[in-house]
Amino acid sequence: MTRILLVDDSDQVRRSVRELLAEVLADVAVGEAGGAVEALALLDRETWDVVLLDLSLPDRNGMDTLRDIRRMRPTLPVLVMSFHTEAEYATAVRAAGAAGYVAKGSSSGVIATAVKSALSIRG
Amino acid sequence: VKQSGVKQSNAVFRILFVEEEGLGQPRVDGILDLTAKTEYVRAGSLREARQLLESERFDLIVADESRLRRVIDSIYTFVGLFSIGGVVIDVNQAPLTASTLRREQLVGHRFVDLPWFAHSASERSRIEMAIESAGNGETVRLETWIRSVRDGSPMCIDAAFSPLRDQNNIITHVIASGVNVTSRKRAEEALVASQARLEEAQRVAHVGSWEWNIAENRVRWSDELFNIYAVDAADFVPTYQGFLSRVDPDDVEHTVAIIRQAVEGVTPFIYDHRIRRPDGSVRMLHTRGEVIADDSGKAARLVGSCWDVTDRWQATRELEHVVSTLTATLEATADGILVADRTGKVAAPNQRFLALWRLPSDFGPGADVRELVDRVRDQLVEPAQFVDKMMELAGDEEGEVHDILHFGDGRVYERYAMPQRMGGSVCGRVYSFRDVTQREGLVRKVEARRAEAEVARKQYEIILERISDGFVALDRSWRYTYVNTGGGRMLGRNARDLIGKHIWTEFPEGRDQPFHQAYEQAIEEQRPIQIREFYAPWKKWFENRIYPSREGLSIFFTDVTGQVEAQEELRVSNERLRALAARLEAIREDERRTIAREIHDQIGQSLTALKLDVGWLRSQLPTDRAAAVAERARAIDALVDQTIETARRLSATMRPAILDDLGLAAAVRWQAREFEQRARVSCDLDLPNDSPPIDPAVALAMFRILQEALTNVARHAQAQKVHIGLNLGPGGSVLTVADDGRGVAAEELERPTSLGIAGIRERALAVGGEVTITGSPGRGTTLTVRVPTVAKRGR
Repeated sequence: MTRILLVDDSDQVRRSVRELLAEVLADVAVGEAGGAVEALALLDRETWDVVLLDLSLPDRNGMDTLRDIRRMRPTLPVLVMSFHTEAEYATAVRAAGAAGYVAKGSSSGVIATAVKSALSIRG
Repeated sequence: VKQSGVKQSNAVFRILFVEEEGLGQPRVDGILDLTAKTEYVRAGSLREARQLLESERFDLIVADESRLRRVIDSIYTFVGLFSIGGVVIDVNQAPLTASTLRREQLVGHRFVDLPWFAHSASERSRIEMAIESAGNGETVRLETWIRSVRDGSPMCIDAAFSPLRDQNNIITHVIASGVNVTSRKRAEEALVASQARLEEAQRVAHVGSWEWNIAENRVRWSDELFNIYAVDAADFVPTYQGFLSRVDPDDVEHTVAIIRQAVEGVTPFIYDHRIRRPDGSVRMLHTRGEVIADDSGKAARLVGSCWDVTDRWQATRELEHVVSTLTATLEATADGILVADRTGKVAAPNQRFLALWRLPSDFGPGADVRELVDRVRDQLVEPAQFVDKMMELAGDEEGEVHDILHFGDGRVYERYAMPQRMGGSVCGRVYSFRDVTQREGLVRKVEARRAEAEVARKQYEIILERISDGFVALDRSWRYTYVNTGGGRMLGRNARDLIGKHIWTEFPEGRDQPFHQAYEQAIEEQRPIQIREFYAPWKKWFENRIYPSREGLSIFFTDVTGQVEAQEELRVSNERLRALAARLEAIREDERRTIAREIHDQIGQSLTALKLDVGWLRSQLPTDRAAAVAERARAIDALVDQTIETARRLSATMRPAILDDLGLAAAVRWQAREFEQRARVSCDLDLPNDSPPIDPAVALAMFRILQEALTNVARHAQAQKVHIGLNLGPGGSVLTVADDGRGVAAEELERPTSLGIAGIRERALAVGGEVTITGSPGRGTTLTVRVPTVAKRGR
């Protein structure tokens, strides 16, 4: 079973992504966190195969959260999802160790491919 | 004669024969036998014998006795026959005639007892001895002085006392004879005296005489000549060569030539030459010489005199020097000088005089002052006055004049006329003229300037009275020399009452106040000082403009209290306005952030979910018969995409999330790329790879400044390229935006309507930063923002 931690403050977004993941992946368990603090607590408690991280979190800077996750679980792939499409974001999250960057508003197929691609580089 | 036993001697023995006519031939042969050294002379008459006896000496007279007696009586020689004891036995007529004594007064008396012949003890003794000697066989001859029996005057007698022997050669008597030689004696004495006087005269006049026997090369010098040469007669034997060795080397050739010429031509000569004394001193001699020829007409001897004219020569040389100095001085002086004698004859005008009066350079001595006046009078403005003055001076030897002469062509001369005195009496007149045209011109100019200055001063005072500023002038001892009315009013005094008063006595509260210090400083540094200070004693602001001068200080002062207060109000108001603007900007930024976040969090998230849901719906639609539904779903999807894009742009415009998410450097890079695409201007970036955390307010301000600057570049610069530099050092953040556009002029930067620039300045100011903009037309513009930043600890 594939365990995916979904970090986004929007319930709507989490629901849509969760449904998308359930549809495209055969055996998947999705954990959800509405903010950075909650996400880091889940990371600490449970084991995950990939993290989908929104950079715009209400309680903490997304880039800092990304760096914290990478420090806690250096081998855990983190796929960054963000509403912003500027290239600087892609460059910055890559530099911070993210497995990939996918813009919110992309089609389901793009997002599914990105998640699968992130999972494939795991361990 | 033989029997008389005349004693033979070495001297020639002279015998006079007196032979009267008819007397017969004497036995001359016998006499001739007497001695070879006998010379005899014949007298044919008594008269002849007397003449011979008077002019010559004879040892023996041979004559008939009676005749002899007459002869003896007729001669002027005194003859006396004395006893051996010296008693007068007989005398001839001559002494009786000479003394007017009678024979009886003499005969029978000892000769030496006669008062007339041996008047003094020493003479008496000499004669006694002579008579005694004669008595002993010896002839004694002597000169003795006797007194004239007639008048007691002294007479010199050449006397002889001889023995008279009888046939047996026994001395029986003494023969005395004597001749009055007083006049000869007197002449001899006069000669000696005159020779002595000549020597003395030579000595006094420094005239020496010499004689040169050429053949024998024997030279004789007078005593004074030795003195002149300063050589000792004992050491120096004068010769011609010796003389030449004393001549000054420079004059030897000349001397030799002169003497050779004189000797060859047998001509007298006169010349001057110098000699050197043994001590090295030089004397100048004036020599006159004559050549004395021998029988053949050749030069045998040179005689002459030398006159030591050194003093005269030196005096002449000194005089020449003085005259030359005076002449040179006269010619070198800038004054024109004319000397005229008492008769008005021009003696010596200098060249300057001639030049001053436009006279030919050969106008000179001998001319008459009146003639001179006639020649120059027309040059003057008032010739008549000039002529009158000259005539007046001609009649007044003692008169002195100092006046100014004006010429028709504008020249101005100063004239001095002084009597020339010599030994206390007037001997002429000296006129001195000086060209003072320039000086007079200057004097007039100075007077004109002074008048102008006075006018200017009055005008100045009028202006000072009219200005609203206060004005005071202080002298160096802090006393008021001038206070204008406005100044008096401001000081609360009557302006006129303050004149002469001491400022710190009148206003003691002003001592050591800033204004006082400024006055001191202005005096010390001698430069104008402007000062605006609060004057605490009067609770007012004053502005002083202080000008130091040699006389003291000039101070303009104005009460600027209202102005300062207005300025202060303006400043406070400006600060409030700025705070307000900053606050408004902050509010606006907050609103933007809020809006951007709302867009992101609400609209963006909803759209994200919507997008996914629409995607799911589309995937669930049957592909065969629901083409219309599928088409509608695809349209919804596209609309969602469009909306997402709009939301993104709106959010980024409000506030780029990248600034908060990725930091200033990433935001700058993004903004630069955006600008490149939008404005088609290439950007050259110099950014740090890693952005250290900086104050978000500073980062925002810098980002907004960058945006504003790039907007300006796009609008105005017409640039091809922009260089953007960012330096986030520990001391501060520096953002540089440099374009290669048309450049910006200084006045454009200050223009109030350059709101872009004003906004940039305000933003920088709000975070404690500063902006500099440099540029010149054609060379682009560079904007630099410096903001001191404080690094935050940790992340």
